[in-house]
Amino acid sequence: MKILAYRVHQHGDVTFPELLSALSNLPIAERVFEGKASGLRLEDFRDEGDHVYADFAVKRFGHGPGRISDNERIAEIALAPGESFGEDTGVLFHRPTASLIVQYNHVGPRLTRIQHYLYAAHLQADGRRRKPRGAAGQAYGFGMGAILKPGAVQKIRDMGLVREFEFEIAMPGVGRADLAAGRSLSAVLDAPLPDGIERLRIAMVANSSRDSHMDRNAVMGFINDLLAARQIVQSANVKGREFDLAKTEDLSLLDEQLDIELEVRVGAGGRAAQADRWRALQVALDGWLQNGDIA
Amino acid sequence: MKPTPLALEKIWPYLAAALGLAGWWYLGEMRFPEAPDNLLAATGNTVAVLVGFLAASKAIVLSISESRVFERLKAAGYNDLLFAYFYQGIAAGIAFLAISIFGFFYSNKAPPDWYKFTWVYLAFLSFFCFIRVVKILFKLLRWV
Repeated sequence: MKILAYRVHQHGDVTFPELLSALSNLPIAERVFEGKASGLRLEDFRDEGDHVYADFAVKRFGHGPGRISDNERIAEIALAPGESFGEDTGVLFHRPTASLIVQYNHVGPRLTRIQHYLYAAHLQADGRRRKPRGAAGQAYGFGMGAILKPGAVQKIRDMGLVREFEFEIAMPGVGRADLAAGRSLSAVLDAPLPDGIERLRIAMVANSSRDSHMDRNAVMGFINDLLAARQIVQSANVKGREFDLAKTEDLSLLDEQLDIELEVRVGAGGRAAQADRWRALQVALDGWLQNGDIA
Repeated sequence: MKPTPLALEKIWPYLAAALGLAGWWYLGEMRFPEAPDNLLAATGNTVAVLVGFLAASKAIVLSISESRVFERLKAAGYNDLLFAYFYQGIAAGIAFLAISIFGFFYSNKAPPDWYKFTWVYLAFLSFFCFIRVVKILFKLLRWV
């Protein structure tokens, strides 16, 4: 199981555990909100002081899994009416460092969607039905920036002159999730659908004079935003140098995010049990705290 | 609960037609020709053109059913929605045509209020359903 590390920035007056706790007090059917995170819900929550565990779940749409064996053809797994296949993503929030350790589930809830969900939940908890205009709209939800490996952070800090920032985003086009999320046909047709435009590459380059450079704070903002939406980012590179005559360094950010791959036992149902997933998150966090990667 | 863009897209022609009807009722003071034969005849011709356009458009969409964009829409489940919009556009047009033909039975006399309400609502509805399909069709054709 792949595990990634993020830092949580509280935008409003509600802490991450407080919001999850309030959500967990709602009946499970009422933990779903319309909008960008439609269909997502808080599945489980446990507050153990410094460590706060949670699972987010979403129904799986489209082609689902079947049962298969060496001697048998693949067969359907029967579902009762009203049931769907579901996917869950476990997270562990560490209070003292405000870090969020996230299980990577490619087909399950991803961090960007969880962020949208928490934003919608915070609005609802505040008795609002829609995002307030202007600065008031920024006082809800949480920002989540990827935690980079200490060496990478130092390399970017050392880049006095950031010359180029390039990233590539996957644009998968319309999918079943769009229909489930309530996107209109008209809106779907605004997006580039054909297979030929599946990736968008954007490069920001300082002008050609040797000492020109980009604003480093702006670049760091882009980096945080991109790493929060890591699942759609195919590549992200920063080029720069420490001082005018130094050698230019090329840093791949996706290789530099704090992550770890841990073995997790898969149960009889083909799923990793919640206790095992949460334990893996704990092991990852303990390792990073011990190494000083998270402080 | 805030309706999704998809829900709005599904119902906006019906809501807009209801608003049009209300506007005709309050602001237009329910004006309707005393002997509407000429209006009904012109309506028949106009609706025939709109329904004919929608039927021909559906044939165009079927002819691009193997294009990448349509394959994507189909995989995502949006093709049923597209054809539902076509169906509603054609059905609203035919209903409008039928009510207009029925109006000839009131030839040379003022039709009753229920007829006027139905005629005006269907006029707005067939127009808005037509607009919805045309808007989506032109967006779709951009990607073919």
